[in-house]
Amino acid sequence: MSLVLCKCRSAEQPFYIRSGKLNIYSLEELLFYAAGAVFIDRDDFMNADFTGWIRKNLENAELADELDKKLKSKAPLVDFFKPIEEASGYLSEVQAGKLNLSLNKFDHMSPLELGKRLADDFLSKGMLKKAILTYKKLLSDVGDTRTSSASVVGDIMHNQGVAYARFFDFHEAYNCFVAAYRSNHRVESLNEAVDCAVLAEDNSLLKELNTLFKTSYEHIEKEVKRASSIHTASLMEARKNADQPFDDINEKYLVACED
Amino acid sequence: MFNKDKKKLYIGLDFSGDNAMISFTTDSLDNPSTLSITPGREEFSIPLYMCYQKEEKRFSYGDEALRFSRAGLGELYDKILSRACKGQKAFVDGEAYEYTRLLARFIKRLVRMCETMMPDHTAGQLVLTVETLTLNVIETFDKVIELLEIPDLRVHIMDHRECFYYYALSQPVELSQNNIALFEYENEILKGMTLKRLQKSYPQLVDIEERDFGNIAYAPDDCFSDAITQMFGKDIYSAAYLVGDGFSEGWMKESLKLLCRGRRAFQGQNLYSKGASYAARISGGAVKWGYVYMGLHTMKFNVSIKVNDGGNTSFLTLVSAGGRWFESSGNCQVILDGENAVDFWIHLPDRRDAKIENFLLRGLPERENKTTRIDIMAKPVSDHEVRLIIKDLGFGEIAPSSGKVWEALVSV
Repeated sequence: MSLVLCKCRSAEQPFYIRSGKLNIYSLEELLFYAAGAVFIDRDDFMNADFTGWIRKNLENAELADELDKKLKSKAPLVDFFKPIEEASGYLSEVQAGKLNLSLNKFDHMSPLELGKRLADDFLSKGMLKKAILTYKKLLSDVGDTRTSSASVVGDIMHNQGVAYARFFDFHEAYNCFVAAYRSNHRVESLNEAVDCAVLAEDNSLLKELNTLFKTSYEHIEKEVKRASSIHTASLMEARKNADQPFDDINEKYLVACED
Repeated sequence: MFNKDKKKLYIGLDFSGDNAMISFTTDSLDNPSTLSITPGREEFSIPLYMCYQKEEKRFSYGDEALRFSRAGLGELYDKILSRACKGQKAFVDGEAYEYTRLLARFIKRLVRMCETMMPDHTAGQLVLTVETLTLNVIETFDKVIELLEIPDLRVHIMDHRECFYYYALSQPVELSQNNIALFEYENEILKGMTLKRLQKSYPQLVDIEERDFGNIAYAPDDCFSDAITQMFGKDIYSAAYLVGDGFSEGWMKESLKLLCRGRRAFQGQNLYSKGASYAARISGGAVKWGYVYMGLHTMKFNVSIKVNDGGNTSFLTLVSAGGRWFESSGNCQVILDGENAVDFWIHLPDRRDAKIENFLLRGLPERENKTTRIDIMAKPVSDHEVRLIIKDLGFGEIAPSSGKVWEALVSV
């Protein structure tokens, strides 16, 4: 049992985190949110509104001054958060280390990756429409897929497929998974495309798959057999668990590498 | 507005019977000065009278109030302190007016008079003193303090014993190195106090013993001589102080000789207000003070909690032993990390070990770890009891407050 001393007051008026759709009243709430967030949007915090809230509502001019300096010097997100972590003392050393690692990652992400993080966050919160719209916007901004971001683009398409599948729009989901497989060449995308074709009960889609990906014929056949052997209702239930957005897979991979 | 360039004024205000007396000092003055209402004369007592002059729409105070009232220029309000303690109301210009408000005006007026005497100073600390502090007096003064509205003025409350302690130990070493006596003769009743200190400890622990010698009006000189012999015994006393109107009647003959044998004796009326003024200066941190007085109103134990302060484990003291219990409340906010419980460490200053009171927060909603912010208030209700109040504040929108409040009383 431990008691973490609150060194800063709680505000009467909250600060609204746009990307997280959350009102926060204290630095502790901010750090709790940040430590668990899939995505931290720089624009939410690295602005005069946020430092002004700290100055006026948390009555912490010293911290606000320090953050204003960071804003002026266009400091990375991880450097911007460090004074907040120190002023609050809410996170343990290990928790602060993990948060800083994530923030550092956000700092080095391309706009496309950051956008995907935001859309994935919507998806994980069940905000499917918003997720689909964000994925669409990202894909239209990308335009021609460059080789370097092909994998990311593929993952975006895959997750867009996940969102459609959760809407039971298996045709649209199928299209997304097929497009995803073309970009990222991940077998998971191909499997999801097969599942969607089976769930859509549209044989033409399965034929199309075999035509499109001749080299993967055996794999497709195997997957069709697996999917068909499961009752549709069970398959839909199974899909809920199977439809993991790619970022989760990436996260697991990253953690394993760091270990 | 408090002017940071101005020097601080330390004020002691004594309420004895229906009179007030006010002394003040500064960082540079050696001895406090007492405000005399008649310039050039030692008329220190200010009657607790106020008069509202309707035509001029202003209050007058003290003797002036009495004069205006007698001249039929306004309504007189008397016994302001005792009436305020009884929660009485007056009617001022047709409007109900609590006596606490009148008392606050009275105090404010006296404070401003001190500031007028020392133009480049501003009131920084004020000590209010009465003979005996009761819960009623403390609560009345608390209300009055709220009504004072003097920016940056810190106000303390203490009894006459404590003022004697501050006065006696602020004197030169030849007057304070051994025991110190005080006799008070008022309304034919003689009382005595002996101040003793444990010189080997640091800070030195100070104790005051009080004796009541009863009515001595039938043979004051003899009775006072007996009282001196009884109180001093074979102990060494550096100084003796005489206060109260009873001593000013010139009856001391043999008793005076006895009193001054081997020690110095002083007589005066303003010892308590001067003591309060010294106390104000010491409370303001302007003087190094190596004494701790364990009086009737001194908090007897510490209440602390163990906290994680930015990664370091430390004790946070909510209530400190040695302070006046009614001024010793402590408050903090913490976030629960782990169990839904708080351990309070109850510690006597002369003991090495502490008693731990585990406070389980029953009925707290299940939440993710570190998403419960609680407010802890430790409020002494006497010198040996502390009320603990814990409020669930929740964690903003992440974990809304349950509104639950837990209370307990701890003592040693």
